This record gives sequence, structure tokens and C-alpha cells, in this order.
Amino acid sequence: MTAVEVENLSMSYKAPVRKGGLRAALGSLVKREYKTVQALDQVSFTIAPGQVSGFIGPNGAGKTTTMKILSGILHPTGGDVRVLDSTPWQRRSAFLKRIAFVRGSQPVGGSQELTVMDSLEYQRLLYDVPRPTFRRTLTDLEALLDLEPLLERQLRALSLGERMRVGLAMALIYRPEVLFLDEPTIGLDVSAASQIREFVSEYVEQTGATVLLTSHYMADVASLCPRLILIDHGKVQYDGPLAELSARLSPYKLIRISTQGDPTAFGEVVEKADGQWVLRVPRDEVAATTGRLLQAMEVVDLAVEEPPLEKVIDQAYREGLR
Amino acid sequence: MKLLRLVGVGFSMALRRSVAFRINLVFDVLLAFTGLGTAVAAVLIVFTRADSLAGWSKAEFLVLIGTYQLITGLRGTFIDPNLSWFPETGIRNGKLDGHLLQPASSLFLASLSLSSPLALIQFVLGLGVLGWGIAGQLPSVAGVLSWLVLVIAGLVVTWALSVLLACLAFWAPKLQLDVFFHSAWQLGSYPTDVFARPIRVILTYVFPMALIASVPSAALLRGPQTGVLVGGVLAAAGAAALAGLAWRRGLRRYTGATS
Repeated sequence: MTAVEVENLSMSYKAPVRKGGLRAALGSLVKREYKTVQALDQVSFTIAPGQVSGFIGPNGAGKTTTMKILSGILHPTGGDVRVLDSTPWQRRSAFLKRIAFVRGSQPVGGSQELTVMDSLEYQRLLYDVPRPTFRRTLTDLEALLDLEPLLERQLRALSLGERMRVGLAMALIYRPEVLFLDEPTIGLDVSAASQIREFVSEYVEQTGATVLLTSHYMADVASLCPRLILIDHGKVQYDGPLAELSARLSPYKLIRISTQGDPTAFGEVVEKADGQWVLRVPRDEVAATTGRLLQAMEVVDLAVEEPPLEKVIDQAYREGLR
Repeated sequence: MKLLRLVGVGFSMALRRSVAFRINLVFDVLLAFTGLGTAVAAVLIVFTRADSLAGWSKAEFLVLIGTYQLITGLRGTFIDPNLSWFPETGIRNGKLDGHLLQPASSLFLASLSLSSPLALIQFVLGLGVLGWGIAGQLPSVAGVLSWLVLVIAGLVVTWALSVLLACLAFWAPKLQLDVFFHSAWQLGSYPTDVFARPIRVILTYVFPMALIASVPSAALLRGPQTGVLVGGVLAAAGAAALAGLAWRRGLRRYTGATS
């Protein structure tokens, strides 16, 4: 039983191309040249019900295109997709009522002059949510998203963080089982972003929803997603647990020690300040090096850490996966 | 049924929105009066010099202008707020993506879910002028009924033409023919009899602006003609089917404009 099943998904489109300058522009009137852009190339993965997966990759990797196909907005040019046992782009009402696609760049559509409550009411009608269920869900969401002060405000007067909260409320008022979140924390300040993260994790806990989440903020991915799917140039480059990605990408670990001595001989120094050192040590030598360090010098404090996820991912984006 | 409820809710929300802007309301009323006033004035001036124009008397012209205004008002209320400037508003700012996610017909959501109630002022004024036109000689019940059928057919054709123009955006995203449509629409405010034959043929069969005022007015004034009624209904059904088909084809080509 899977919630999302993607097999050999491909999406390509033709984009007109021409060189710069007037001559080329006039030339393209007569003879138009196209370049085929392969946005997705044989992408395959499955997500089990209730699983929260991070979908990461550099800009233009194909994340949003995949999400648009999974939520039925776009028709792919090849491959097969089943979401909750439906083909998304057939866009059957019963299917659309079970999924939600929330975008951090446009959290709330519709008329911006309407109040939040009016918009929620419209959703209730559109998604045929029975009134008692609607009221119950709204009460839950009010508590989780701190919605109460926003209900009577107009959409256009909301701040970015408030818009995202409202966007989530509009999407979750019909209790979707599969949630596609496209950069839900984009542009948000630290506390607004962490509020959204907490909310998503609570929603998942309460409802058992399946989530596919894209984000450029590793804090989102690290705190929410036990599993990562890394996509680049339209291809899946990695699919597995986050810790494993780190291990695979970075053959090093970091040893953070406080000491009065000079540990330079034990590994590459990455940072040093006030008797605090950070050494980079090959993964398989961590245990031995730690032992030698403790024997050789007076260590006040010692900790072994994974390299920061941001750095690991940055390396993956730049150099690809080996 | 659900779609009707959605239109109702959309209308009520739009009404709440528009009454919030009082100055807008005043100007919309003024604008509607001015538009209608100039149209009626032109007719009154022409008819100080002539008794009939291409076979239409002054009262008949008023019926025509009334019908035209009434349909224009309904179009402004229910059709224009949705599909005008579709390539820009619908595709580039991602509104269409939103509609595609919602569990109702995407064609309905994109073409009819919004309304702008203030444009109904024009509808009411149109009714007034229509009443003035028929005050001298009341039409037959059959005439009124066939007028009603043809007005509905005209509205359906108008909606379908808007949808077809919007669908062009799927093939040629830069093409915005709204200006062309709005100009051609103006031709609907004259009886087709005043035009030369080739234009008359075009306005009746190719780009059926005749349907929006000329044909229903003639039916109201001169009684129903079975051929015209059947033709009108068939035109409406055909245009609507074509619009639906173009929409479905267009969506298949749609590759999204936002990222």
C-alpha cells in the first residue's frame, strides 16, 4: 500500500531559443528554433502512507514540476503516477478533496479583499465539508496556527507569515490525506518558520497524513523529514535516510574539543577560538583519533558531530553525488 | 447545484466587497448612466431626421439598445471578471493552477466563479430602456419568450467566445485579443440590417455579434421565427461544446507559468 507512486516520470517541453541581437530576433520570425528542456527524466519513487519525505534539490531541479504533476496541475510527457490510487491529472473531484498543494510563494489565492473567514467558508462549500466537521477542524486549526486574530482580517492585509498560516488553514480545513508543501517557509523569519514546522509535524502526528515537502532550508528538512529524495537535473540522485546522505556525501566527521593544548596534529583544523577547536577527521578514523586525543592531551570537553547539513547539501548540489 | 451555490456565494462575497468602496459605487453608477445616455442620445438625434433606419423605427432601436445594454451588463457581471486578460491574470500569476487543484469543473471555476455585481446597474438601466421601447406597443407572449430564449443563447455564445479567446493563451501565450473582442462587441449595438451584406454574414455566422441584440430584439418586436430560435439554440450548444473541447485540449498543453 503506497500513498504516492511515481514510475519513470518524465516531463519535457519545447522552449524557443535564439541568439541575442536584432538579426537573430528577425531571423526567428522566419525560422524558429526550439530546444527541448527535459524537466524530469525517469523519476521514480514511492511514499508510504503517513511518511514525511523531504524533496530537495537546487533551483530548477524539477521539484515544483514534480509536485504540480503529483497534484494534477500538469500532464507529464511520460511515465506513470498514482497518488492515493488515482491518476492525478484526471483531476477527479474525489481525488482533489484528498490532497492539498500549498506553495510558500503563493500561499493564498482567490480574492484578496475577502476576509480569512469568508475564504474558509468558500473552501467549506467547494470541498463539501459538513458543517460540524468544519467547525471542529477550524477549532483545531485555530489552536495550532494561532488563527483567531486573523479570521476577520482581509487576505491582502496579512503579513507573509500570516499568509502562510492562512494558506495552510485553507488547505487543511478539508483534512487532506496527502500534503504537497512547496517551500512552506520561504521568506519567513526564524520564529515564523519554526511555527510552521511545528504545525506540520503536529498535523502529521494527529492525522497520519502523507507529506512531500520541498525546502531550501535544511532546518525544515532536518526537523521534519526522516527520508530525503534529492533530485537534480530532473533525475533522482539520492533516496534514503538523511543520516545516510550525510555519511555518503561527507567522508568526514567533526570533533569539537575544548583543550589548552594544540591538537593540530590529530586532524585538519576547521575552526579555532578560545581553546575551542573543531577538527575534521575521516569517518572511519573518528574512534581511534578520539582515543589518541584523550590520551595525549588534557581535554575539557569533546563532542563528535556530523558536518552541517547545509554544507553537505551544498556540496551535493555543486559536485553531484559520487 | 453545487456550481450554482458557488456562484451565489461568489456573488454575495463580491457584493460585500464592492459596497465597501462607496466612491467606486457612485462612479460606476455615473459611468453606466453616461454610457447608456450617449447611446440613447445618438438614436434620438438620428430619429429627429429620419423615421426609420434600415427598417428599424425609433422604438425598435430603443428595444435593441436596451437588449444590448442588458446583455452587456450580464456579461460584465458574470463573464468579464473571470476571463478578461486571461494570459496575464489566469496563467502568469498562477490563478489557473489554483483552480486546477479545486474539486469542481476547472472551466467553471476559471470562467464563472467570480462576479462583479456593480455591473448589474447596466442590466437594470438596459431593462429600463427596453421598457421605454416597448411601452407604445406591447409585444406578444410568444415574442417575449423567444426573446428570452435568444438572450440566453446570446449569453452562452458570449461566454463561449470568451472561453475560446482565453484558450488561445495555451497555444500563443502572448496573444491578448480582448481589445479585439471588446471592439467587435460594439458592433452588436446596431441592427445587422444597417451593415453591408458581407459584414452582416460575418456578424451572423462567423463572429455572431448579431445574436447579442439584433436577433433577440427582432424576435421580440416581430414575433418568433422557428428557424431563428432553433438556429440560436444550436449556435449556443455548438459554441459551448467547442469551448469545452478547446479548454480540455488547452489544459493538456498547459505547462504552467509559475515556478
